Amino acid sequence: MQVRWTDPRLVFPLVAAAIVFALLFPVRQPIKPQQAVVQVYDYIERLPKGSAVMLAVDYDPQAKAELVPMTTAVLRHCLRKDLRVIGMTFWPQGTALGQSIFTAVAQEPQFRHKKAGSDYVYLGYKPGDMAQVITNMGENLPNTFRQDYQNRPTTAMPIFQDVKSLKDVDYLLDLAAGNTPETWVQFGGDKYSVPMAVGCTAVMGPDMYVRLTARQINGLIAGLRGAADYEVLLDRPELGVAGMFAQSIIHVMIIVLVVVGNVAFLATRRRRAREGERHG
Amino acid sequence: MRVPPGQTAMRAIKLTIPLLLALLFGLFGFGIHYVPHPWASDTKEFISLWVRVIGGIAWILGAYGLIHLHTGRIQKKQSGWGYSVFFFIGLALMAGTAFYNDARWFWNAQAQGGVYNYLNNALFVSTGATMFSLLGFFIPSAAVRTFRARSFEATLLLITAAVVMLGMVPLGQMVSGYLPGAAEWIMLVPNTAAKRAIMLGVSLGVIATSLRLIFGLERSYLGGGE
Amino acid sequence: MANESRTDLVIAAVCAAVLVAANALLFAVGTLPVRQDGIPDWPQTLVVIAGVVMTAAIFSFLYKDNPFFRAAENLFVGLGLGVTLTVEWYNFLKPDVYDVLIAPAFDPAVSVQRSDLILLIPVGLGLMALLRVSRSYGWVSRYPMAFLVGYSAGFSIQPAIHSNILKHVQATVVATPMHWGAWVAVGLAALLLAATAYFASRGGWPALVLKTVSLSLAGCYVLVRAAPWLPGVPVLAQAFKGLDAIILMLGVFSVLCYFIFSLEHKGALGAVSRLGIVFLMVSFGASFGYTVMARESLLIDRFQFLLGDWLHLL
Repeated sequence: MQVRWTDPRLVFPLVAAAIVFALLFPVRQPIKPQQAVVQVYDYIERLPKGSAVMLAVDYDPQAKAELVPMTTAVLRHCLRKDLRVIGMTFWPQGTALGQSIFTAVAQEPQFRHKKAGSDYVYLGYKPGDMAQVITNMGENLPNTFRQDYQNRPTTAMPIFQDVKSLKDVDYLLDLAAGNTPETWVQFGGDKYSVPMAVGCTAVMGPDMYVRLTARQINGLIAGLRGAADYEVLLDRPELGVAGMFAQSIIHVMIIVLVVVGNVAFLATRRRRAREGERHG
Repeated sequence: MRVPPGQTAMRAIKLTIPLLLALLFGLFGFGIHYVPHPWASDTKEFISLWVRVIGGIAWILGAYGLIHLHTGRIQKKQSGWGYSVFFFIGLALMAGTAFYNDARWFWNAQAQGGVYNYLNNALFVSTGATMFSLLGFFIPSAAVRTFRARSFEATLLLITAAVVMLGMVPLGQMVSGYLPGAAEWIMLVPNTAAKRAIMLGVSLGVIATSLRLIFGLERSYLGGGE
Repeated sequence: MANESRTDLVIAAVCAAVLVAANALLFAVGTLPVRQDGIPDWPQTLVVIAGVVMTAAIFSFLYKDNPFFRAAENLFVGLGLGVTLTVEWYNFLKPDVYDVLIAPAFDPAVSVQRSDLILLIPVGLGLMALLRVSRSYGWVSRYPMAFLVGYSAGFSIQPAIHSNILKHVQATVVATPMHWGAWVAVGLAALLLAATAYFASRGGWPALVLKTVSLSLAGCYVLVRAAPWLPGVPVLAQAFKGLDAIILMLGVFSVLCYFIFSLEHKGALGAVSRLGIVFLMVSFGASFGYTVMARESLLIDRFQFLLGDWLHLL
């Protein structure tokens, strides 16, 4: 049985071995945060105490590797700055995940004094056409979500005393694994003039740069690297930073394998051309 | 040959009136953006609520489709029908525990931290996270086997990918201070240019399709039949 | 074939044995959650073990398609539908429909508000939409669908024009103040590009020389633009910002030209389209790089779970 060096049965164990090695023997690397991430951090840093920030946790467990670290970091930052955080989601399968992140961060020792309904609230999920839900939120937010995820009525909550619609939200961050940022920008950010930023999976990063350069969003946290950058800015390295060495190793490995493959390909092509000349 | 009046009336009820409704509501939905009166804001909220309620109930069609597919497989004993049993096991586990609601049943508020949440964390989150991670093996394997610099364009693609991949990780920063800057420039300028042009084209297509839907030229949403 | 099945069975048995042995060893060593009285904390332990088993079942696909993977895949689909049903009920149907319209019938303390009675209309329309599955009465679903689709289509036109077209055209053609020297550079670059396009189709040494010069200049531009010291030289940084805006405009225009398929790509249009292809290839390369980063992140997370939460090696 002939096994070529590009055989998946060789590449798969190589990939696994590289990641295991990098996780077991990590090397600390300096991380210089990207400008797009710094823009989000700086904006939240400058928000006055008590400002309302909306976190749209628009992803499900399939994207948790990249988005849970950045959600956790942003939520910690907002609570540390004594901002009021309103969470919600357009992804039904991520509803419980969003709630678990809010609960986990709120239970940290430095945030134990924060009260649900006053300092933060997780509204859960609303079905239907996303554009219509955002429009509803833009006109009347407590009416759109009459109850929060834990079935507490929202109309009486202190957090909604002066936040009646999206227009009253001071910053909107869509943490997304799908194309929800496109709809948020069209029907939320641009329509109601809400300053917004996006945190997304790395797959969507290249598309979000278009919105960034058009100033429809004022910052972008893309992928695990973005999460690591935010953790560095918060001075609290966790899952994002922990994965960076493994990420570096695997990227270098892929580039080396592709280069070796191309060198072999070019050598073979040249040899065949010479043989062709000799016979022809 | 004259069409019987009954048939014309039925055609009007089944086809013409829905198309007219689509036209009316389409023009209304377009025009309401340009009405500054507070009435427009109230109406938007009102109609948006209706759209949400209808959409939220119509979602059940999707669930029905999936259940019908797996039921059919089991009934007809098609190849691999045994796996459909696992589908129903998963559905029964999650839906059953959710509606049992820790003995409070589904007409009360959802219990927090109960069996449903436990199963969600133990099974759903893990499996979901693993499903897409398989691609982490397949992408390097495919790249190694198929990425060849056969032409100028392919070489350009490979070089760009290498620069971005190195520039995005801290190791790239350590190798050369130019790599992060080059990666950032690639994202901000040529990538933005290409993606923006694609987005402009796609948006024009979306607008054209919306107009076709409103004016009845596109009728696929009506479903089959007369 | 029989040999292959036997090999597969042996591999499956070995993997299962390794999993069981590993968990037994972890219990013995005291790594898996244990209560104070020494009895395993089964709920917490089962969360980890269930995760490991499902991860192993999914990863078994790397060997080949097998019953464990198919079973896990179908189980996941069922779990997903169950989760979605649950969320639909507790987050929408219960608070917005059941609690408002139906619960008052069972609770004398609560009554239906008159203003909420109007919800019966969209609920009715939603139920009409469900008739889509009926062969005889499927046409009834056209009414709510016409309302939904028509209104949504009309409602989305204005935001699409504003947010996806006008804002981006504006961002593309925005003028950046530039030093006259930068404009001279732009002029010379335009001449070089035009000459390269002209001679490229004719071949020969002028084409080779011009292509080499163009590529080298492009490479130098990227090198200087990516230099870490550039932000420290404001005049140069401003000039490059302006040049970037012009490259961006050129890129958008050339890619749009590439997508004009109703005209043959020859002459000036052909040359501009080829430039568009260059921008597209760079964009695809960037997308590939980011996609690799995304997928590898997911894989790293799974290994962090296996090595950290299960084996406690991290």
